[in-house]
Amino acid sequence: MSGAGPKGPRLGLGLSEDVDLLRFEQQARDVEAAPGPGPATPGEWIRQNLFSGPVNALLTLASGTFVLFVAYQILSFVFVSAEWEVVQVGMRGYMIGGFPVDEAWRVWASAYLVIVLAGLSYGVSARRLRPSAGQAAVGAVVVAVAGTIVFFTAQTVLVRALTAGVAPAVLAGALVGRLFGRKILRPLIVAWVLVFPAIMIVVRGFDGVPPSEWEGLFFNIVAATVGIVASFPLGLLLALGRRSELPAVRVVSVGLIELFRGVPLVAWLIFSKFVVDLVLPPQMVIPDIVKAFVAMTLFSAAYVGEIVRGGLQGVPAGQYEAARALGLSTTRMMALIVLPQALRSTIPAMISHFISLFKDTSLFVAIEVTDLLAAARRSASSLQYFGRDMETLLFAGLIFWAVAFSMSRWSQRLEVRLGVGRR
Amino acid sequence: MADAALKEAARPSLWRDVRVLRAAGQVVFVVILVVIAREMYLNASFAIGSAGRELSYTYLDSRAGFAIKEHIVGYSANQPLYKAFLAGATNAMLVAAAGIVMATVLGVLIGVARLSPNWMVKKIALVYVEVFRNIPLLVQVIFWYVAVILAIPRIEDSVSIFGVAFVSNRGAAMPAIRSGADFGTWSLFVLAALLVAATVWRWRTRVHERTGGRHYRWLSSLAVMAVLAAAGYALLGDAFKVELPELIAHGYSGGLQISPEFAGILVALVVYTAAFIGEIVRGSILAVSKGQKEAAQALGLSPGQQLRLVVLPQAMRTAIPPINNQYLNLWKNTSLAFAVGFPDLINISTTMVNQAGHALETFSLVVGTYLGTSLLISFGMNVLNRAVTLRGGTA
Amino acid sequence: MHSLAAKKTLALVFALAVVAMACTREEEGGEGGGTQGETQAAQGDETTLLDEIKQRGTLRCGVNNTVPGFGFDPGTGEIEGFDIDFCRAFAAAVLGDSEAIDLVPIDADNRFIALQNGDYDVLARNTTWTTSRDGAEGVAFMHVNFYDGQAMMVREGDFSSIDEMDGTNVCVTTGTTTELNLADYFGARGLDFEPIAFEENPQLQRAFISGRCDGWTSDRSQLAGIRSQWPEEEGGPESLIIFDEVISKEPLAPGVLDSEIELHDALDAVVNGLILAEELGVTSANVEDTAEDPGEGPVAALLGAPVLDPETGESAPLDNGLGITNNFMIDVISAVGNYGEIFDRHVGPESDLELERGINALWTDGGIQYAIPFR
Repeated sequence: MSGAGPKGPRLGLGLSEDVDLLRFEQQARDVEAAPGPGPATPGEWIRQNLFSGPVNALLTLASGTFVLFVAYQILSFVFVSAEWEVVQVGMRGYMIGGFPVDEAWRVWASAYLVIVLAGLSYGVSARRLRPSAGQAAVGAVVVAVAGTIVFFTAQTVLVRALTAGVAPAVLAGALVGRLFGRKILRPLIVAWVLVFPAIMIVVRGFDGVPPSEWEGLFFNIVAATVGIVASFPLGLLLALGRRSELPAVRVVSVGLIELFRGVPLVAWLIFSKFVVDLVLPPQMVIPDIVKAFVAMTLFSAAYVGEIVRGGLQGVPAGQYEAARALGLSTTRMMALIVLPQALRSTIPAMISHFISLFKDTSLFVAIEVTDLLAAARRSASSLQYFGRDMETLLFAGLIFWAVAFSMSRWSQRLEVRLGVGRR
Repeated sequence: MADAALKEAARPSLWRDVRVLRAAGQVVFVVILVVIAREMYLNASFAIGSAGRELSYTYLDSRAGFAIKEHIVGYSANQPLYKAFLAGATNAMLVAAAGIVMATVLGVLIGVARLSPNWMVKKIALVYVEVFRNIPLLVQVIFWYVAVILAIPRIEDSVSIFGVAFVSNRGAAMPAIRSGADFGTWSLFVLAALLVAATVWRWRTRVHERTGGRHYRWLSSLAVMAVLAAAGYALLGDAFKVELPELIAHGYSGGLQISPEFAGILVALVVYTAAFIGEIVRGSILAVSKGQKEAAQALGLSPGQQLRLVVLPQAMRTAIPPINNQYLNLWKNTSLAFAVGFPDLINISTTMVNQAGHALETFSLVVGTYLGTSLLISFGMNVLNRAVTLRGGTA
Repeated sequence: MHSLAAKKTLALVFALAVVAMACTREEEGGEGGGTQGETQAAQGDETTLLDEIKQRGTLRCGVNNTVPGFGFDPGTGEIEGFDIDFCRAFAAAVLGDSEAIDLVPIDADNRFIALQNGDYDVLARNTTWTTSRDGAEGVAFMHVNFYDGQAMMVREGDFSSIDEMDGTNVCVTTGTTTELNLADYFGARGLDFEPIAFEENPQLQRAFISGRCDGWTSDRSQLAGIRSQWPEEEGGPESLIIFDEVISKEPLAPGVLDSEIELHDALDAVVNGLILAEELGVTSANVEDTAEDPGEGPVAALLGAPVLDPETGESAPLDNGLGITNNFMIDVISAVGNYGEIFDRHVGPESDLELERGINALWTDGGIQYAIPFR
């Protein structure tokens, strides 16, 4: 079933279009993955791919020069002119900001929780643990780069050890997961569901640290997770509301979706900080950061709603009819037949939304939250390191990029695994 | 009679009648929403009233008092606040309009490069997409402004391009075309030239269809138009003139000037959005079924004709909805101008709130403006989409 | 058919709304910042902010962390300066502990909305007292603690006075009176200019260093602070000059919300007390000895010493009725010293800022600092 075009000329302020986009991307990957006649020798390959005609040869030369130029600029900056001391000194600020140092174990504990779970999941799901040569090479480079960064930036032996412990923890998790295989799939899923509440307890419980002190990369990750977790049920409701037969429910759902999506997140964040207090009852006092989380959740829910709607539209009418024929009630039909299919097809779009939400958490700086980017900016404006903008921006950008990029890669693999859009 | 009685008996009681319940449910739903909205309004007017102010928009008529460095609405510090708001809104729209055009061009280039048979070009485009779409836009905005644009030579060491254009970290200045006294007459001239050119186009097409010879319709109609327009310019004397920028003490005078802040937000928006548009273009070209390309080949169309007549029209149809989405994102992302001090909607409205109060009123205007413009963009793309779908349908 | 689904949806919406309400209520109690709501809910509307601060045990001050001398974080996370010492003095007076403070760094742009929202209790952030801030923004200002004026800073050798600055780019912080004065001052002289407006000083500093703007306008005190910290690789403080021309009057004063008159009165007494202490020669060095034997008269009144009633022969403290202890000035002065000490420590001629007392000298020394009497 290819279903290339959109269903009709319908166009909203929509994100369901992005679901289409994901479908294109996947088709594109399919088309490109199609095996063609391979070149016989390296020389043949070069001739075919780089110098197949005069225009092509010219393009290769021009773009090759461009690549060399950019690579030279980057390398000479990174290894010669850059002064990385500012990053080394500011590292703790980038990661956890003003999070009390004595309480930093809470963050480490949370991080290890997630890391071990990720390792277990990898062990359970990976078809083979032994990576291909290409994967091994990429992995080696990543480990080398990460190792270098850790070695040069870690301030204490403990931090160095804890960071170095990440790799063994993942590996151990993977081996254990491999050992038990599918048998622990169910507990694993339950664990993933519970991991966020667990982290909240670890961070906040036992005289923990209030949200106003969550800063740095830790804030970015937590905020994005809060956003996606809280906005999922709300988005589901909005999607169902938008497809409701009751005009009032439909109109309100459409109105809310378009309202929250038509205005930038920055505006909503500022709105939440400066205006929301006015419309709430005077005795109701909510901390700024909670109001901002609520604003982000509503913003995100509008997008989730559209993604889910796209998924619902993709469920064939026959599925509804079959469910009816079996005599299922509406709730059971939705819960057992329609939603599982709809949600499964939305997983890639959800992950892509999560990635953009993660990137958007940098906008909290507009309401004076010190996230990773703000911490990086601050370290470049301190007297001692004034003007080290390039170094700090590159480093912050690299971390954001690494998280977003690895998630998008994971999403692509998941798509293949689930066979989304390919049935 | 018995029939009616049966019907009567079959009708469910009022509280079990689905239709009644649906109507009642909706009424309750709406009433609850109205109550919440009213409660919020009352809270706001009470809070504002107890602070000795009132909920109204009349403050927009009072003097703004602050200067805005760039605007296209003839603003000055002595003008009312609504004019300041307007300056911010139009600035944001200007960035968005320029950004949409440039991001589309760059995006299509990236998308096509992703499919290039040249391995090097393909990989460059891939790296471009993966790098720029996975880094937060705010990081990119600050990067372009602080690390790139502010690092350009100062105004004293302004880079001159053949003496007609200048670049420094005070901005760029380039020649501008300004309309002269006879511009109106001259545009009539151009209109006439356009008609003549169209006629020439038709004539050449007919010749081509009759004889099968080369039509040269582009060349001939453009030549006719250029000659006529030039003749008009020569005849009238003051149709338009080219204004060259000049380097003065602390900046530029004349010409078309681009401020560093405008450039910073614009470049970031274009580079970021183009990565997404590139993926859309690539995806939608690949989504055109292989049979279409093969059929075009079988008809003996040249590769260029295949692309222009068969692949692109179909690809465009699938690409428009997601591209519309990118345009909307770009418009909303102009709000990140706050990071570089470009006077956009958010920047101006926070200044307004700080100088004159009235947070609720000002920010509700901001929400309204973003929403309205988003709908406008969607509407425009809808019209385009319909036109394209229609043509695709008849083909 | 679908109606049932719709009804379920409806029910879910309600359920969610209830849950949402419950959540927010929960957050209210759970948060450090939510104590205001908690106590208000518990005790009705009669609780004043002053009582609340005493219950809470900390005083929250909205401060600057980017202006050397007044409120500045040199990169250590500790904010120090003239305004911060006033915050300490307030905490010492209200809570008896000058360390019981919570410093909330805040942008110029957001300070009033944040004050109205209750994000902090006292605005101690080099804020100019103006009529519209008294009125529209609803701030109750205390005694002026620093008489400032707006000035212009340029790179050495670029200009010799503001009148030469036609057609220039001027760096300015958004949302300040400075921004308004700049437009007025240049407008009145028929000078053309472009304001390069940023929210924060570090961004302005970067723009100024890179040559994006020709001049930087702000309060003279702020400019002196920035100049004092100018990076050596950019030429150090000597590469910058601040013109003597006064663009505007900028009386800086701490402030609280209009509705918190009790807190205003108590803190206003602290500001006056600090100035009076200098006038009476009470310093952090001698305050303890003086408190032992205050004698009679103004010093005794300042330190809240018991007053001998000549008729009954008993000594009883004079009740100041401010809602704080009578001898609060002892804690205040031993914590931060008198006004002159604070001034000298952070901004005076011996400090990095090298500011003269000027009109901030006591009225007895030819300045205009004149405190109300303690009686």
